Amino acid sequence: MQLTAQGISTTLPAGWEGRISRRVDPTLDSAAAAAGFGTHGERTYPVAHLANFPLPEQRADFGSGAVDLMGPDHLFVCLFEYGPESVGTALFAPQGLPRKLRAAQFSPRALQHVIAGQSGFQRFFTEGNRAFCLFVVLGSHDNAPALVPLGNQVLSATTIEAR
Amino acid sequence: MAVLVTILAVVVGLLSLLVVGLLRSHAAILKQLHELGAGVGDPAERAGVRTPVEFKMQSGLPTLAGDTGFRDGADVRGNSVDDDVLALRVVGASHPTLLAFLSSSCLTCAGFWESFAEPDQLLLPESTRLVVVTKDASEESPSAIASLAPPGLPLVMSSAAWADYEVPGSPYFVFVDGPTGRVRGEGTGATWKQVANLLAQATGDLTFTAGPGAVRRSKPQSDADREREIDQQLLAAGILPGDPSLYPDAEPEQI
Repeated sequence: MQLTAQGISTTLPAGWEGRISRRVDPTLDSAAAAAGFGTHGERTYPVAHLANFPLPEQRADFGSGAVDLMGPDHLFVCLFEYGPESVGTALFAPQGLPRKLRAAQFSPRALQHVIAGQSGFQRFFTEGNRAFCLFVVLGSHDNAPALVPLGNQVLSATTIEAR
Repeated sequence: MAVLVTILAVVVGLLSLLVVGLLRSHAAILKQLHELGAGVGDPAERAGVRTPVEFKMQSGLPTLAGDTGFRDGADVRGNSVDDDVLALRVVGASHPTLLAFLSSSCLTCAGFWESFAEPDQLLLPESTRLVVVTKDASEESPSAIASLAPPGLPLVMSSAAWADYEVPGSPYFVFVDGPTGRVRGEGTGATWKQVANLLAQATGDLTFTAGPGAVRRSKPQSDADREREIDQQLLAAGILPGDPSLYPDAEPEQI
């Protein structure tokens, strides 16, 4: 199943689903800012959520609300884009979306919020002159040897269009 | 002159035949749509007169082989009312999916939109995922759908899904078994309660009508709370959006 939007494209394997979104930009849309869709000065950029479980509608950018529902066989992948001012900074110096993760790279300490049994991976990088954070959550750290290759399958099928 | 009159008479005759043929064809199509229940939500329909087709379910669960009585389901791809691009897994999912094909204009759909506005009251089995499917923005009013969109329920604007499931009209429901990806039941009803009753009878899962399967969805406030706290601290320190101190390495003109 193909999913393409905002210069991000991926092919989802069996059992996976996804969503690519970009919230209304309150800085460019004063009506949206007035309606409570953020604060003036805030800029928004694309976010992709990919998962092998049903994504709930209420999700935060880095998966709060979704990761809480994960079972031991589940994976959650988040690609979060940052503004162009981040390109070229030290944090985003690594080039290219990581597509070959190893189980040893996952740690419970990499989670935004520690959830018993889960572990995560976070990497800031630049691809196509665009700054991103890749955040991957495993439903069970014990299942990392089986889950990480599934994540790599999705990441290998994901491309980012240059800006 | 006589030749012209004759030609005109022949043309008028042919056109009359064409019109009669079209009217007959139109009547046949309307009759078939009515039999399928597509007129259930017709705004022209008199109040209180409803003739929904039966919600038909296959007996038993489909199996991967030898279940010719079940037709194939399809994954749902489309856009949200916020113009997100989304792909929902239906085929091969570990859970069953109930697809609710609704429109913003049909009268009967109004009752379903109202029922879906409070997902916690739907008494769906926890394993069943309810997905609302409307037609594309080219055939539906996005603003009207946005005003009706139930909070907490996935809503996909996808004319392709309507075509994939051969939806005859709205409202229409399709119940898909996830592991096999086969359609287990489909049809329409006048109210959510009626559809839920039929689903309960057909699946033997009384949760559809009796609970306690209220959909439990956590509402993530963590990010919003954290952002609010950080904003408050920055504001208290006199740092407003765009403040140069937020971009220590940037050139002034780049801010």
